[in-house]
Amino acid sequence: MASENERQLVERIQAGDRRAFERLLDAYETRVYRLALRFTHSVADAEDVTQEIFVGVYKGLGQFRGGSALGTWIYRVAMNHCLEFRRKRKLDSIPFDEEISLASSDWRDDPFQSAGRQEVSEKVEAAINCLSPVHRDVIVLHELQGMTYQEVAAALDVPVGTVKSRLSNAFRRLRDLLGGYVREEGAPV
Amino acid sequence: MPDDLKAWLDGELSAPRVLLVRAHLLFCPACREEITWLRRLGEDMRDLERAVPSPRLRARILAALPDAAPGRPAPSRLVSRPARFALATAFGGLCVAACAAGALIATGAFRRPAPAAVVAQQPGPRLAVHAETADPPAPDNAVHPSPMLDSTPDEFNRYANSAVERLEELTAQQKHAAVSRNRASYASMVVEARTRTDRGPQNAHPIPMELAVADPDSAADRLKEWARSVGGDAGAPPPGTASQMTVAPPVITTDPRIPVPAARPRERLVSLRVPKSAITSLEPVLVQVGALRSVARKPATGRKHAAPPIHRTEGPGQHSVAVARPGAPAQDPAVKPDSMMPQASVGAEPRTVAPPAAVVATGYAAQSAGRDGDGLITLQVRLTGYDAPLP
Repeated sequence: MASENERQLVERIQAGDRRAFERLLDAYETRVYRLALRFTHSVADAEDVTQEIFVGVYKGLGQFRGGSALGTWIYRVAMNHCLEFRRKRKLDSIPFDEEISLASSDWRDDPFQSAGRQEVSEKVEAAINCLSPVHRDVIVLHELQGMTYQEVAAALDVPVGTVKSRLSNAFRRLRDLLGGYVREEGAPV
Repeated sequence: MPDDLKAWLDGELSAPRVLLVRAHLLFCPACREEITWLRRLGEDMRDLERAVPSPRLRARILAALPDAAPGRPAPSRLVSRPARFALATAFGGLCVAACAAGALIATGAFRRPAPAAVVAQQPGPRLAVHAETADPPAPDNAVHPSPMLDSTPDEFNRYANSAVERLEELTAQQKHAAVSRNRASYASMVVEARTRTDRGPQNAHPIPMELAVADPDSAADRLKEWARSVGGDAGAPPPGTASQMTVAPPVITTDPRIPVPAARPRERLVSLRVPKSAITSLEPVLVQVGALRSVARKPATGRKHAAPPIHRTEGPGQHSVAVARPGAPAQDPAVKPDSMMPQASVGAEPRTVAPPAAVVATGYAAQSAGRDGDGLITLQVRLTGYDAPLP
């Protein structure tokens, strides 16, 4: 969404235009829902959190002055809600330092690897869920939500350098968990 | 370097860092393998996000939005929910009290015993107290029993709600009546204030100013510009006056004893409506337009409302201005040219040192404006060109 369009959209929402808010939902509802789903691991909870997020966004837009991009601001609001949800629910049921069986072997060598990408996705998903919260957050925001380092930094309220190092560490950790499944396929860049 | 690999893949590195990483990758197979692995894992991750919110989520969100626009307080009910409950309770209590009083009356505690067949009508649920009697009920014996006595909870709730709504309606009516009363008062205040501060052209008392300037046209434009800059406006001159006039054709004569004007004296009449407080800023404008030379008007004998000059300075190069009395009518556009010709300097030596024309004019205008009170004032400025030859 172009910044000019964003500004007009915000002004219309601030004037009470519900249709304008629906346009905002068109742009961000799915992404925010997926983000919420990452934190809640439950469709019902994700819907609840998404609803809270957008009600908060609607109320907060009255004070939004365009100091940052609208998307960055929405993600900031969304992250606040998601982190609050995590704090309340203590969803991190699997300790991040708990080794999972995925790392026991190179699972790409599994004869059943032809089961397809579904299995790959499940493995990666499980590995992501084993990350520490700080590492998982940057993975979710950057890799899954497609945010830039700058946007992730704004959403998490941390420096960009922190995002960079956390991402690198998160991938290192994922590699440990997944057992380096592309090792054999490595090719010179 | 390890942190840079991921950032390099993400395009988040600065140009020098990119060069560094690329150079490193040429000689480091481990990092090349790392890059491949990071890229593959990233692609696998992007396939993870397939969840799509259900359509009901959109409806839920929209339904949960507050009625008010963002940043504005929600429209409040005249009576809030707790207040509604309190009112309902109080109303019920009043009904109980009324019922008790009515019962006392009906039972003769305060009145003579009178058998009554009381059928009470009330706005809530139709509740009636029946009594066996042949006599018609006296109006003042009507008993309004409380619905709390023999009504069902639903009936009571409906009754309480209707009572509260009626109270709300009454409150709204009272509020509306108060607003209407105040609105009339406000209207009269506005009319009064407008009359005081914004006099119309017909009711205004323009303050006449007469200035001798080098170029009446440009001076008029400059004055209009000033008026607009201070929040006023430059309106057309009042009816009956001319905004621009050329006062006389040049005299063509062969008699060397008759002085021949080198140029035609011209006049411009501009009407300026400006805030009174802006008068002090007029002075530099007048200096700028060159209202520096003497101009005096001959006493217009035999003319009613002749406007005598209040200040006169003689001598070339001196600053002076002739200013007419406030309230005097605008000068006749058909004023004769000789009455506006520079007179003071003709054959005269400088005798006095006068304050600049602008100072006199603005001081006079301010003095006049003070009499008119606050608000806008109208300056009627006659600009006369002093391009006639001086001896």
